[in-house]
Amino acid sequence: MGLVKIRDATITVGSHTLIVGDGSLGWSEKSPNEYKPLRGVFANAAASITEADTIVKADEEPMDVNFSFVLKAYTGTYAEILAAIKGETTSDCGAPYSDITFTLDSCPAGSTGGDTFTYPFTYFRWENIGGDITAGRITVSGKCQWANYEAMVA
Amino acid sequence: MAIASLKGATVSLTGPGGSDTLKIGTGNVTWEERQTVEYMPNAGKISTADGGVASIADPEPVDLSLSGVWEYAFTDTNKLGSLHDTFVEADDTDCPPTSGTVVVTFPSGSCGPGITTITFNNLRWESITYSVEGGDINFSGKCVSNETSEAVVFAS
Repeated sequence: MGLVKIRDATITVGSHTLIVGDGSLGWSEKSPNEYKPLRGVFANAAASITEADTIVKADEEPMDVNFSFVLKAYTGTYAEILAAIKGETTSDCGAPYSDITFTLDSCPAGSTGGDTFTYPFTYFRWENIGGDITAGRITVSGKCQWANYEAMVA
Repeated sequence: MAIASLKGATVSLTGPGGSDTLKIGTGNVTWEERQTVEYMPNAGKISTADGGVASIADPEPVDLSLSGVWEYAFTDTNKLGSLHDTFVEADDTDCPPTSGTVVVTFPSGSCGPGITTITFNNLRWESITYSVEGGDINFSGKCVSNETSEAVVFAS
């Protein structure tokens, strides 16, 4: 699972640019397998059973993504920002989605002055959206239609 | 879940039995907005480049809960009786209850990112409790989006 503090980050979603006061970004990748023992074992050389026979990759699952942040500065209205996160883009692949990019300056451990880190999340579809509206906090969870982070940014 | 403070807000209720507006002293409005997305891999692959498809499952209603202590009602001297009339007494048939609307209007500058009102449309109540003496009110229900209006609408 990835987890990044996004204090003072810049978020771009749709036509909107958001400056974050405080927040976090997390995602998790899955590697599901199916385990089907043969004659009670996963491998047995004497019986010519190997793990390749009993353990197979299952269908890929989308990445879980969640983020929560307090708006410090932004373009557009709250309703427009929410609409952009919910997704305005559709394609042959189905339900509306959004592409969201988080840009941080010199935050992760080991970075040096001037480093910029960009975390692009594409084909994101929300599943739960809320937050402390009074405080300007937006909290979102959903999934990106990728099996893992490396495939998404390739 | 989303939450907003109702401190100093006004809450306008419109139901099958009429309408009224309450001035709230303190309280919160919370709601739960969610959707379910179904992903269908293609030959085990999920990404769009590999032919994976995503679709929205059946829509889910938005759970709304409003609780607080109100100061006064604008149009009904019977105070909380107006809320009862607005939603409860009109709901006396076997048909699904007619929907109502709740509009929360926030004092200027009190609600986060420039929000002035939040409207909950197509709302059907599920629970109303209140204390006439204490001024407590607890209201919950569900609202839905339809072809003419979204369940939750923000205005700035």
